Amino acid sequence: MAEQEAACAPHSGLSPAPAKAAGRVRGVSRWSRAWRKFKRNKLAMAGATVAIFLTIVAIFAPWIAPYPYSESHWDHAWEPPSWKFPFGTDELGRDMLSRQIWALRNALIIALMAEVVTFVVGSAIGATAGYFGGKIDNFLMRFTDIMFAFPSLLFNIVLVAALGRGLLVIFIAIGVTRWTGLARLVRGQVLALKQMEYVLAARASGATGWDIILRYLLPNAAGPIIVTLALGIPANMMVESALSLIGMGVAPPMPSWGALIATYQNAVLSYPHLLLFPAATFAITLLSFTYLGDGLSEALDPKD
Amino acid sequence: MIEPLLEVRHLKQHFKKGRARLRAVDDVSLAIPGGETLGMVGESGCGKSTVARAILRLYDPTAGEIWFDGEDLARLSGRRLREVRRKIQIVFQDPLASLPPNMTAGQIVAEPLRLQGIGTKKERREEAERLLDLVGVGREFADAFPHEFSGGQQQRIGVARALSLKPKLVVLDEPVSALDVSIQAQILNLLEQLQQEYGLTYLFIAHNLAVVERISTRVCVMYLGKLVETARTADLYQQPLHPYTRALLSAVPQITKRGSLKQRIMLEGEVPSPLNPPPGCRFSTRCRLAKERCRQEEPELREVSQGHQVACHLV
Amino acid sequence: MEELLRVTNLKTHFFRPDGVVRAVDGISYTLNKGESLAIMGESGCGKSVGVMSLIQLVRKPGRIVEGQALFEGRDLLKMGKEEIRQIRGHCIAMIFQDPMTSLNPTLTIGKQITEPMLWHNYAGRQEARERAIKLLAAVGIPSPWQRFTEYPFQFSGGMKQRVMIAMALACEPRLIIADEPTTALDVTVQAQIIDLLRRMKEETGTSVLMITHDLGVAADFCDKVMVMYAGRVAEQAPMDEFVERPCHPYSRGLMNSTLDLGRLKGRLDPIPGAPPSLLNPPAGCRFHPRCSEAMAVCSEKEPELVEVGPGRKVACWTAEKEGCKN
Ligand SMILES: Nc1ncnc2c1ncn2[C@@H]1O[C@H](COP(=O)(O)OP(=O)(O)OP(=O)(O)O)[C@@H](O)[C@H]1O
Ligand SMILES: Nc1ncnc2c1ncn2[C@@H]1O[C@H](COP(=O)(O)OP(=O)(O)OP(=O)(O)O)[C@@H](O)[C@H]1O
Ligand SMILES: [Mg+2]
Ligand SMILES: [Mg+2]
Repeated sequence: MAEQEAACAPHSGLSPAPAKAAGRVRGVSRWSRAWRKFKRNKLAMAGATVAIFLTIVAIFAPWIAPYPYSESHWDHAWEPPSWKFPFGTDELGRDMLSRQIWALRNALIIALMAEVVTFVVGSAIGATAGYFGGKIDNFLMRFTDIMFAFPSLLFNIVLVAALGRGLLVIFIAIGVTRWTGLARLVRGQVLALKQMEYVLAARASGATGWDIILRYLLPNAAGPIIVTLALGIPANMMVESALSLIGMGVAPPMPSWGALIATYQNAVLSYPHLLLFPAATFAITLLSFTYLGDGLSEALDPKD
Repeated sequence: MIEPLLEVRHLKQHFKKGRARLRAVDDVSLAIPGGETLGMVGESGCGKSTVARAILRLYDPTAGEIWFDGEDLARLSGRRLREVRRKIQIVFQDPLASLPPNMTAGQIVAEPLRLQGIGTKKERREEAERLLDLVGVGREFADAFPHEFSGGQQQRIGVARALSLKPKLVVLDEPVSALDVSIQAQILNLLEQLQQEYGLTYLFIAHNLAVVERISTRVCVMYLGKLVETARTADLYQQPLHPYTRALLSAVPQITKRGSLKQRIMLEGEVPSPLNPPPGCRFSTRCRLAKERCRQEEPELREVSQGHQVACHLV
Repeated sequence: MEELLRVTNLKTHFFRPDGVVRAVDGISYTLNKGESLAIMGESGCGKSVGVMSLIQLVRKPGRIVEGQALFEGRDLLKMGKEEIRQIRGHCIAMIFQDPMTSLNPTLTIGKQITEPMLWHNYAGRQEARERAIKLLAAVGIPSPWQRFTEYPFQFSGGMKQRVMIAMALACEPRLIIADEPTTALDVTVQAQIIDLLRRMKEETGTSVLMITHDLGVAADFCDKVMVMYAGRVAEQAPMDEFVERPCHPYSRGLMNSTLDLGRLKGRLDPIPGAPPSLLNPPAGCRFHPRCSEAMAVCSEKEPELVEVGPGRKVACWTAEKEGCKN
C-alpha cells in the first residue's frame, strides 16, 4: 500500500508531484518555486536586469565615470551631448555623465543603507513585540505609532540640519523614519507564525526561544520582509531626492539626483539635456526597482 | 487498577481576556493506563485542544497536577521539562499548518532529535528515513517539501515526527478531521498498527463520534470546560447516561439507519460562553430534563457503575 | 416528477501556465422538483467547481468549455451577466462551506438577509423585514428581532451558517445549492441544519444539490447520490440502493472507509493511495491505479456512464460486463 501511495500524485493538481528521478525525489523549495515564477515574469526580469546593471555601475563609479565628478572643463561649459561628453556638460564644464553616475551611486548607497537601518530597527522592534507580547508589545507598538505619526520629512530635515549633510547622516535619518511599516509587518508575521502548529510542535519537542526565532519564525516571515525591503528602495530614493531638492541632500560639489534635476529646471528650454538625462535615468531607476519589488511580491505570494 | 501512565488531576486552564477570565478548562481529571487509547469528544470550543496543549505544557496550567511517569509536569520547567518532552508528542489537526514550510520531510522528522541533541546529523537522517518508510511515505521523499505532499501524506509526516523521539504518549488532536474518509481510514489503520507495534498510549481527540468509537479503549465527553461522562467505549456508546452524551450520540447521522436524525434528542439554545458559564450544571441551560437543583448545584463526576462516571444529578 | 435541472456534458477547465486542469470533465445529471441530490467524492474531484459553474461563478483561469445546464428549460450557461444575476439568489440560492468568509462583516445581519429580497423585487421593505425575522426564527436564532441589527462578528460559527441558510431561503428559491453546509459544524448543529433543509424541501418543494463528504449526512437527507472521481461521474443512484450495494469499486471503497456508529469491523479497508492530479489524469479509467478490481481494459479505455438499473448509472468496465454485482 505504501508503494501505491508513494507513486500517486498529490490530490489537487495545484501542487505538482515531487519529481521522482532515479529513486530519490528532489523537492522544490518555496524559494526555487518563487524563483521560477519570478523568471516567468518578464517585467520583473527586465526590472531586475536594469537594477543589477545600475548597481554595478554605482559600485564601480570611480572607475566607470569618465571624469572626476567635480572636474571642470572650462572651455566646454553648457555643451550639448557629444562623443566626449555623452550627457553634455553643465555651467562649470563638468561632465554630466560622470556627475550622473556619482549621483546614482549616492542615491543607491543611501537607499540601500537606509533599508539596512530599516531592517535592523524594524525587525528587531517588530519581532520583540510579537514574540514577547503583553506589556513589551504594548509599549513598543505605542512607540511605533508615535514614530509613524511623526511628519517624517520634517524629522529628516531637522536631523540633517543638526548633524550635517554627510551620507551617513542622511541614510540614518531616512532609515530611522521608515522602519515603522516593517516593524508592524514583522510583528504581525511573528504573531501569526508563533501560533502555527509547527511552532507548537517544535516547542513540544523542547525547542528554545532562539531555535524558534531562527529556524521557524525568520525563514517563514522572510518573504514579506524581503518584498517590503525591496519596495522600500525606490521609496527611499524618492525621499533622498526630495531632501536634495530642498537643499538638504549630500553637500556639493558631490552630485545628487534631486539637486541635478532642481538646478536645471529653469534652463530646460535652452539646455534640455541638463534636465532630460537626469530625469530620465531617475525614472528608469525608480521603475526598475519598483518592478523588481512587484515581481518579488508576486513570486513570494504565499497563496498558491 | 494498574498505575496509569498519565493522570491529570483537577486541571484548570484559564485565559485572561481583557478583564474577564475565560475558563477554557475548568477542573478536569482523567487517567490513561499505558497502552490504551482515551478518546475525547465534545463540541467545538469546549476545551479539548486546551487540555491537550496543557498536558504538553505548551501552557502554564492555572491549577492542577499532570502526573506522567511519576512526575508532576505542571511543576516542571527548564531542563527537566525539556527532557520529559521526549516522552510526550503531539499530532495536530491541520496537516499542512503543522509542518514548517521551510524544511524538507527528512529535516522535519529529524528535527525533534536535533532539538534534543540526539545522535549525529547522519544518524538522525538515517532515523528520519526509517520513520518515513514506517509511516508509508517512503524514504525517497525525504527531500521533498510539505507543500509537495497530499494531505494524507502530510499527516503521515506529522505522525513520523511525533514518533521520532520514541514517546510513550502521543496526543492526537483531531488527526483525521481534515482528511477525506478514504485517507482518514488509512491514517487510522496506521495509528492502530503503530500502537500495537510500539505499545503507544494515545489521547485521541475528535469530534467524529464514530472515529472515536473505533479507536478508543475509553471515552470521555467534555462540555464547556468540564468532563460530563467517562466510560469504557462500549458502555458509553451503548448506555450513555448523561443527557448531553445522549443528545450527541443521537445527532450522529447513520448510514444504516436513514432518517434517524428525525428522532434525535433536541438541544435548545446556544452553547454558553466559557467567559461566564452558567451556575449549577453547565449543561442545564440546554437540558430538557433540567430541574431546579441542576441550575443551582454543580454535579460532581461520580462513579455509577464500574468504570463509568457521570456528572449529572439525575442519574 | 417534473424535471428542474438537466446538466449535460459539463466541462470546466482551469487554464494555468503549467497546463490545463480538467476540474470538471464532462458530467451529466438531472434533478427533479422537490428532490435532493448528494454529490460526493474525495477532496479536489471537482464537486465545488461543478456546481459553481451552474451559476457562472468560476473564477479567472477557469472557464466553462462545454456543456449545457437546462434550468426549467433555459440554459444557465448561455445566459448573459444580467440574466444570471436575476437567477442567482432568486431562483437558485447558494450556501457555502465557510460561513466566516461568505458574510459581509460590515453589514448587519438584517441588511444582508433583506437586501436580496429587495434586489429581486421579491418584497417591499417592510415585508422583507418581517420575512427576514421570521426566517431567522425558523433557522433557530433566539430573539431574532434583536439579532436583526447585529453584525456577523457577534455570531458564532454555527449561527453564521444558519444566517447563510436564512439568506438562501429568503427569496424562496427553487434550487438550493449547499456546498458542504455542515462540515465545519458540530453534530448537534449539523442535525438542526439538516432538519431545516428537510422542512424547507417538504414545505415548499425546493430541490437541493448538496455537496458533502459525509456519507451519513448524505444518506440521512438526500434522495439520490452522485459520486464523482477526478472530474468525472463514477456512479449515480437512488440513495436507498446505493447504501444497500454501491456499484462502482470507488463507491465501495468510500463505503468501506466510512465509519458508522456501532459498526465495529476488523481492520478498515480503505482505498489505497490518493486521487490523481487533474493536470494529467491517468489514461483509461481514472480510478484504475487505485482499483483492486482493475482489468487490462481499465488502463486503456475510459468507461462510459451506462444505465444498470432504474435511475442507476455506473462508469465502470466490471459493471458494463456483468451489471451491478453483490
Ligand atoms: N491561547 C488562548 N487564549 C485565549 N483563549 C483561548 C486560547 N486557546 C483557546 N482559547 C479559548 O478556549 C476555549 C476552548 O478552546 P479549545 O481550542 O480548547 O476548544 P476545542 O474543544 O479544541 O474546540 P475545537 O473542536 O473547535 O478545536 C475557546 O473558547 C477558545 O476561544
Ligand atoms: N482557481 C483555480 N485554479 C486552478 N485550479 C483550480 C482552481 N480552482 C479549483 N481548481 C482545481 O479544480 C479541481 C476541483 O476543485 P473543487 O474545488 O471543485 O474540488 P472539490 O471537489 O470541491 O473539493 P473539496 O472537497 O476539497 O471542496 C481541483 O483539483 C483544483 O485543483
Ligand atoms: Mg481543537
Ligand atoms: Mg469544494
